Amino acid sequence: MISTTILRWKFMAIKIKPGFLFLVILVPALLFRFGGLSIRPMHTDEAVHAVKFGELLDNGVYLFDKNEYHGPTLNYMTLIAARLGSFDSFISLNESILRSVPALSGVMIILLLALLAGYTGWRIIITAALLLAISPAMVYFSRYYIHEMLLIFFNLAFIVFLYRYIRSGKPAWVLLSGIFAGLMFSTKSTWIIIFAGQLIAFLITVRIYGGPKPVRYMPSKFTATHIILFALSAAIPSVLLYSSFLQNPAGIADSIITYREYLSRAGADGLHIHPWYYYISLISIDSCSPLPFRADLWIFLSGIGGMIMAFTGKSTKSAKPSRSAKPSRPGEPGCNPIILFTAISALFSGIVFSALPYKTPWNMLYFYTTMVILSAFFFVQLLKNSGNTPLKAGYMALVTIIVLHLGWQSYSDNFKTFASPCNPYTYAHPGNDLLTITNEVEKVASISPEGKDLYIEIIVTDNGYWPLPWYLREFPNTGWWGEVNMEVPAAPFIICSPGNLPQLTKKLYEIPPPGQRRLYIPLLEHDPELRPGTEVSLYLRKDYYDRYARSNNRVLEY
Amino acid sequence: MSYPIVFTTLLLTGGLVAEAQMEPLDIELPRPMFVGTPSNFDVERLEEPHEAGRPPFLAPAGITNVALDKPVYSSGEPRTGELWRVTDGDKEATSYSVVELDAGHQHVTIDLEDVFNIYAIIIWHYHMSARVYHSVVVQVSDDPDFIFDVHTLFNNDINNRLGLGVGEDYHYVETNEGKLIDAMGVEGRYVRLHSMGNTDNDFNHYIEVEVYGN
Repeated sequence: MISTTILRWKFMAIKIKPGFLFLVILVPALLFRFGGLSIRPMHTDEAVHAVKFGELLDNGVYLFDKNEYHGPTLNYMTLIAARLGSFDSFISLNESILRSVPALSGVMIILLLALLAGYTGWRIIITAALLLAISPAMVYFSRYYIHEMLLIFFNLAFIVFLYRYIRSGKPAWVLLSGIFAGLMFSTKSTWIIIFAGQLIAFLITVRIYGGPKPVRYMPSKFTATHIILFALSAAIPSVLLYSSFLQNPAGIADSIITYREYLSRAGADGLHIHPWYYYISLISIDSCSPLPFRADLWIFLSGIGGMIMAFTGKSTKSAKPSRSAKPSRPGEPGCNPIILFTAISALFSGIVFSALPYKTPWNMLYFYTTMVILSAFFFVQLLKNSGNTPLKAGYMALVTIIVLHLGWQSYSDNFKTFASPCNPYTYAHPGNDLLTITNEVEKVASISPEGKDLYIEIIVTDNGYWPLPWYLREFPNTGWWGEVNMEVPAAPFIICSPGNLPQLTKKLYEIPPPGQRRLYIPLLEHDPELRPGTEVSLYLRKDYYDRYARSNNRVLEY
Repeated sequence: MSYPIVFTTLLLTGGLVAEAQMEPLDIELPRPMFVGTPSNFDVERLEEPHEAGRPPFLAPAGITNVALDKPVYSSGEPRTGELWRVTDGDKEATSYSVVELDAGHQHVTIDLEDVFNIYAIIIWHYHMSARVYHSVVVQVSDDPDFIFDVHTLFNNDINNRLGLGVGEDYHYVETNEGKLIDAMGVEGRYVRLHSMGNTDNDFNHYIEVEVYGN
């Protein structure tokens, strides 16, 4: 009886109340993105952006740097979040408020899909929304204070609004599309790769669906005025943001010059050079999981299936794209232009990002997002084509397993192994040792006469002390050094990487005259790691140590 | 108590870089003679006894106990024991290893027989039972009479009973860890240690004194 019911189920629920289902999907999306946002230690990149934002929050100053930090949107969006949350200083900030910006972007990506339902049908949209809501990669990087999720959000908004404009001709859509194009441009240089793929996809899609006249399905009110409107709406936010709201006009030129820097560094940083199959390996296997492969692999494989369907037009029994075919209407089977566009841009971005030697896990996110949409398309077509046969029950069981696997993987990645090296999305990620260091600094400050004005010297080779500046933001008298500075007096509390020990010894025991060579004591028995492979030692001057030991005799477990 | 990681790191670093090195001194501690430390001493400005072990102090590589087997003098003849036991390397709390001096203000002086940069001094007065010694003052000088060029490294004589100045350091409870004093690399040949009785009796005791320098 139950199986019969399942077999007869024809997505009626989706047809009846798609909006309700969409809202239901938002629940796990919100929980996964906003739950326990502060549990993961800050990554170096997050800390760098946080400190950069701190300058804006504290001093009201943001200056675009064409060499570092990417674009200004992350800073200004965070400023809005901080103001709404009544955070008025860098010191008062916490991880949750910073990460709420990408987290909200992650949710907005899902919400935007609803605007395409009229062109693809709710089934694809709801399936894609569900997959995005629980996708391990999308969840992980929605909880990461970097630009990537904003870039995906702005890009998707640009595309969605542009498509709605193309289909409706209403200037409001082209205005919105322009604004988000400007925001996309103001976020991160990699937008250009995404955009290039989308331009190619657009031209091919228009060619296929537009027949001999490429603009056949362009709106009848497509006018030069709209082009100007688009250009202005794109230019104004980007000019305002890059120029720090006209306080730094040089930022406008720098927003173009930055691409020279971007191109010169694309293959130069050996730390981020990875083989072409790097992204596939990320989503395929990990050593955390007892299962033979990661849940993301389902997305990738089904996305490939969706891509093949889109290219071959064999997604349905009858649908084969033809030059004369009009875009499919809601509920109609077939490969519509949105799916074809997605497939082409996915292929392009997948090839380009894999070919570029410079790779970080978050650079795959645009490709990943398009694969989620193609995956949704694949599953919907698979179920649709299977009719009311026992095969359909099998497919539905498979989809259920995949959803459960994705949900479990997301939970594991984001709430259990969020900083573990076995999690492929961790990228030289600091672990709990970082919190140990911070706790020790807090304890020493609590017993020192100077309190949080305690003078701390932090010496880590190649200035590799990040993300400590974030964690020690309440300590204004902290000196940050890439090597030992002999000119400044030795601090009572020193955090030093092993490579700098000879110089530190010279500073402590050779340069000072006799009678001023103070005794230091290692604060921890085992040197903690700032990041995997980057150990530091904590040294406390003995008089401070004596206070420390007196104040809390059980702190040190020697 | 061992610190393999710290040692290994420092040894490896030392093998690669022929520069100044810093290393933890592995001070061999005597057997503890009592468990826990009573805190009901009626002593002003007493350091809270801590049960956790003391971490190793870091010092330039190559420094040693330059007081080992060096001559020792005292302000008066010992009541029991012999002065050479203060620097004989035996830190165990036995009646054989302890030297007892008379009641009142007494001091012992160690002649290092050369001028050294002194980084740390460790004192074991008496750790057979928990007790606090009064008016502990530690000085270093090139002058055997301690008249000129005297460096006071530790002074918990908070009432200036010895007339050497008001001390600001804390009293402490004797344990097998001894009392580690930061000598700040001071130069000197003679090390003098004062005291004036303890919480159990009026006498002054020394089991061992180590002076680390180069």
